[in-house]
Amino acid sequence: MKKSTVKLIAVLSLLVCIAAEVMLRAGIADFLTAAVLMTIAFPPFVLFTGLWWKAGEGERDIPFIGY
Amino acid sequence: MIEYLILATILGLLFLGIHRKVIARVQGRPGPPIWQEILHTLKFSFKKTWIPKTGSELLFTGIVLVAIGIWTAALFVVLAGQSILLLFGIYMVHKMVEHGVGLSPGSPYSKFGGVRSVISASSEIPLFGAVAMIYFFTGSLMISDLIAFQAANGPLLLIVPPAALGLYVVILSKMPYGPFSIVQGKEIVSGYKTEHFGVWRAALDVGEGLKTFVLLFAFVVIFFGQLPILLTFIIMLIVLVSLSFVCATTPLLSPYDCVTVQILIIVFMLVFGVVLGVLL
Repeated sequence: MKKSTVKLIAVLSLLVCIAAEVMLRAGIADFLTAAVLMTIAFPPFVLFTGLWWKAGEGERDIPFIGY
Repeated sequence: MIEYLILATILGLLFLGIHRKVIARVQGRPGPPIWQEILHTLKFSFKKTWIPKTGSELLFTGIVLVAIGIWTAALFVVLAGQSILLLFGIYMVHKMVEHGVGLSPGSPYSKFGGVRSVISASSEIPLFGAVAMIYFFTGSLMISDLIAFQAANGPLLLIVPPAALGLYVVILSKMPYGPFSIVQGKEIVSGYKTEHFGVWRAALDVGEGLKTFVLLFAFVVIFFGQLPILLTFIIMLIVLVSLSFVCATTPLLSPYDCVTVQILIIVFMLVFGVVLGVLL
């Protein structure tokens, strides 16, 4: 996956998290709706932010499969 | 609500650090600082990351998202006072996460961890027993109803101690370095997580922190009721330290012994439930 795509997913998921929080505080969304949005958006935010920082784009490796 | 999520993640990782520290002290070692798991997570998120050549890309990536997602959902289930059955379901999905993380990279070590996760499904039997006993005594599985029940009748811990024992064993089976931690046994390197390095591991650690917090938090809410937040954290810490003592003083059981011990616990719970049922 390209770095730009990874960055886009990280930013979009952060925006969804912020939107869920704002909507809950403003009374637009109830707890359940905000919780669902947060549950969907929080994992990609954590993972793709990390990948955006450090994902390698070079040759992949073979795991150690024993002697 | 995002503040709860961040707080739960940090506290969960801190609890895991305290867990390691207590185990080390009991075993006469200095041990790492208590914030070590937080540092680990940060450290892994700065490591170069890729997917192994032998891995299934979709499963390798997707299962990490599921690992964080299910415990995020579990936190909101407890905060919203929803049904314990939802927690039960999430716990089942966590088994699939262990299995998926283990099988996705194509490494024999992680595969063994994933296969052992299936064997350790016996830890769900005490959970099932605990849920059944709670329903038998309170007539509800909604956490909000359990809080109301305990406000009127006192802590469930004193009313159905075997149910508390059942959930305690469930949490113990999910704690690292415990007698039932066969999915992460050192003889298979890091078990199912062996090939999830770098950012993958950091994300799995975030899920692990959330899981630790949610399980301890759910235990306190279900068996002690709604307490002031500081007191809740103190009881969570006490439960955690007791788990650490068990982990420090018991060897890692073989997979078959794990099943035997967990079945013995459910037999004890059944006998207690039948005896109380007859007496009441």
